[in-house]
Amino acid sequence: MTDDHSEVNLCPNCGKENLPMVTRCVHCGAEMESLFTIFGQPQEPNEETEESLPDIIEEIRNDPALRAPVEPESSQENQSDELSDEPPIPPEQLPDWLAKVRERAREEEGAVGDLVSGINAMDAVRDEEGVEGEFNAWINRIREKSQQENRTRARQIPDESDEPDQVPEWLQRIRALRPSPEEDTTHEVKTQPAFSDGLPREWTDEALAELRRQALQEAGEQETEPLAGSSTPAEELEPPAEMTTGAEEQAEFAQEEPSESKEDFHNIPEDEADFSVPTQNGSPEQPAEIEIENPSEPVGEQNPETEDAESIEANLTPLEEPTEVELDEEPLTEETLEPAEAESAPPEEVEEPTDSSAVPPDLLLLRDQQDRASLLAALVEQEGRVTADKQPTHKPSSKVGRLVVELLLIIGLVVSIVVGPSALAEDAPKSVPALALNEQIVSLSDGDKVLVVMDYQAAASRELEALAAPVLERLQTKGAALSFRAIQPAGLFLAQSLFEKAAMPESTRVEYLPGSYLNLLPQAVDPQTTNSSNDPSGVENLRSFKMVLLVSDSAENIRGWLEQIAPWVGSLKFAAVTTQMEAPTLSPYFDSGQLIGYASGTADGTLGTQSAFNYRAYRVGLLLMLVMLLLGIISKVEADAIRREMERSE
Amino acid sequence: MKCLLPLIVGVASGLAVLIGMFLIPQGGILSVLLNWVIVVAAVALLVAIASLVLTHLRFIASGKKGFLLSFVLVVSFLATVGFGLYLGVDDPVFLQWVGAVVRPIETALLGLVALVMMSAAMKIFRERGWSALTVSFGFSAIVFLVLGLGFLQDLNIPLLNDAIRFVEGLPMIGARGLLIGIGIGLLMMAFRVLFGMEGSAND
Repeated sequence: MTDDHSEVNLCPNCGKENLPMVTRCVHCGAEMESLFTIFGQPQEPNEETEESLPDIIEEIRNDPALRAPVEPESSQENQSDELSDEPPIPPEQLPDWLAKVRERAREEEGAVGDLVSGINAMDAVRDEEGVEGEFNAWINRIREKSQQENRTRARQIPDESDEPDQVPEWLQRIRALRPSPEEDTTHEVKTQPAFSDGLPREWTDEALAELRRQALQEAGEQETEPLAGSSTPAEELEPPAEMTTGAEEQAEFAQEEPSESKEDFHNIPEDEADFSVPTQNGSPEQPAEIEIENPSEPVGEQNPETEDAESIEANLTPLEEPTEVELDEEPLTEETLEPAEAESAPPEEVEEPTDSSAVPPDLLLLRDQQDRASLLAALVEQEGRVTADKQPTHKPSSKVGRLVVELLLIIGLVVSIVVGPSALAEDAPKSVPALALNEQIVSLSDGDKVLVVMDYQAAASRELEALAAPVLERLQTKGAALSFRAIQPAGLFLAQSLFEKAAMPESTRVEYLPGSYLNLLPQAVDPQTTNSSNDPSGVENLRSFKMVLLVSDSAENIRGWLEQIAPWVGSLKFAAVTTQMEAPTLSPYFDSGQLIGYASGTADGTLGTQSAFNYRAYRVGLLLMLVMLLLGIISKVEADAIRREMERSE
Repeated sequence: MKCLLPLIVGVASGLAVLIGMFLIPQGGILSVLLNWVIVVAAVALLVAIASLVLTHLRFIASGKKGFLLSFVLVVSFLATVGFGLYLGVDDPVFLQWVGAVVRPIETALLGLVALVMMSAAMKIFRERGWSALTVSFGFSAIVFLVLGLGFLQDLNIPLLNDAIRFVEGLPMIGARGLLIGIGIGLLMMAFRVLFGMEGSAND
């Protein structure tokens, strides 16, 4: 498949894989011509060296001078690998070619070669995107947080020194487990008691050195006489007179807590590194906790190889250190005590230290770390298991929002209607077609016949009547002879309302015109058929009219009149009163002159003197529509933002 | 034969109308044909009304869910026909009563249509997402709603009025394209009917 890395080239810029025939990286667009190789022709060897290129690359990669500094928090395996590596070759022993290569690599950025730089870039990208870096950062954050918490808690716990007469609980337990004096083979360190109970609270250098010597002696005896080691159980060990409280607690935990199995899971690399502290046996892989845990076993069940309490202190210091070397506290607390503490202390006993003021915060830190590590281990174990189905996310109910919107609409409309109609101002700007219609009406003379065609439904009657009534009133004022025809059956009863608003005389009648303009088409085509007695339209002569006023809510019907009738009757002028929704369709006809004018919209309704149009309600309705539209846009933008945020978080 | 007869009728009617309008307009052929069209359309309307009433009578007889609405429809139809025949279609009282029922119903329906369109305009962005259609719709709707409010016109700024007039004339571009498309479509449809290529004629 395509996973064959031997057939791909690594980009020197981004380190990603590319096909061998490409000249530019498909990921970053960097030049890759230098990576071109001609198949079948061997590469020219380097003049300065006879080594093959992979060997040089390997040398460069293994060169500690060119290697990135090793992080102190490397894993145990890395440490062991590094320990097993051979020491770097001194510069004077290096071959000339390698020295030159190293020098060039230091001086020139691209001296390592495109292939190696590509590999390094790829490694850098993987390191940046790797899980290990994130995991280490996560562990560091946890550790810092725990340190802060423990420091705060340690400050809050009262100091034991305030009650010098009271024997600590840990000491009582140790004393309760203290064996008989004849079995005690250890030597008590002679120190001066600094407290009332005769036990100093801090270590001195002499006491630590003496304790170390004792431990070494005991260890030497056990190596020579392993079966006789039962005479020095951990419980028989006299607690050092100058043992610090931290160390005493360590011993206390070692006595009280059950030993854990060696199979305990450690998933914190740093803790595992701590486990790899060299012991007396010199094996770096052997964790110190093993010898610390074993003394906690009961006396009768202790194994001579593991029950040595002296090994606790023996393990506290590495073998490399001389016995007389001054003992510092750091290896006691961090390198050796921490793993033992972390492995052996159960949480319930850890939570109640008797002398918390002297407990090093690092001990509590590691206990917290262990809890978190255990949680992480549990999470890792649960990974891949079948869990409960994802609960469906219930969207918040939109009923409330919908109700608010509906109430907003209702309240706005009701208030605008109740307050009363508000007419437009007389000087409100009119549309150009409306002004043209007004001019045509003004140009009519007395007695001119005007055919008014009513072609609208009841739903549009309010809008059209508000527009048509002023026009009819003005026509009547001009003395025009109006003839009304209804295209729709509903026009028969709708005309009554219109006549009332236009103050038409009661004698005004409206006739039904079946077939609409098709009824008048024969008249338009053939003038001789105009006087037909059986003409159902009642229009005796279409050409006798000066103007046809189309009051219609359908631009399609108006278009039929203009396209079917108007071409045959050139002397007939067509005007229209239509809804605002249909007006744009009629604008081309007005532009071409087929319509002499039309009235539509609210502003055009003030052509006459009447103001039957509720302009306030109209404005409120438009405003609510605008708000709803903006709400829709805003909600969409918000939903997109939430979705993008969720995608980023995922 | 079953398919051939509608085809022949359709082609013959189209040719007759063309002949009556352009070749021999004085012959009265166009008038006769159009009267036939009007009569047939009226009869078709009566047939549609009869079918509607029979369907709802069937619902009432079978007790189908919502038959009460069918009952209201049938009763209203019979009452309108009865009063129309008794009082006459020109009677002012009859027209007033019919208008008092029809006008609020249709106005309310138109109001509901406005609310539905408003709701659709609100949801179109969530349902369709951001596209050229939705963005252009939203932009044009906002512009013309703002212009429809009339606040800008009330400012009475000459330059602004010119701009408003220009913007208000933009729909004419779309209307022209729409009308040209309608004309071409009608022409193609007429040719299909005349040449017997219309699918509905073959049914």
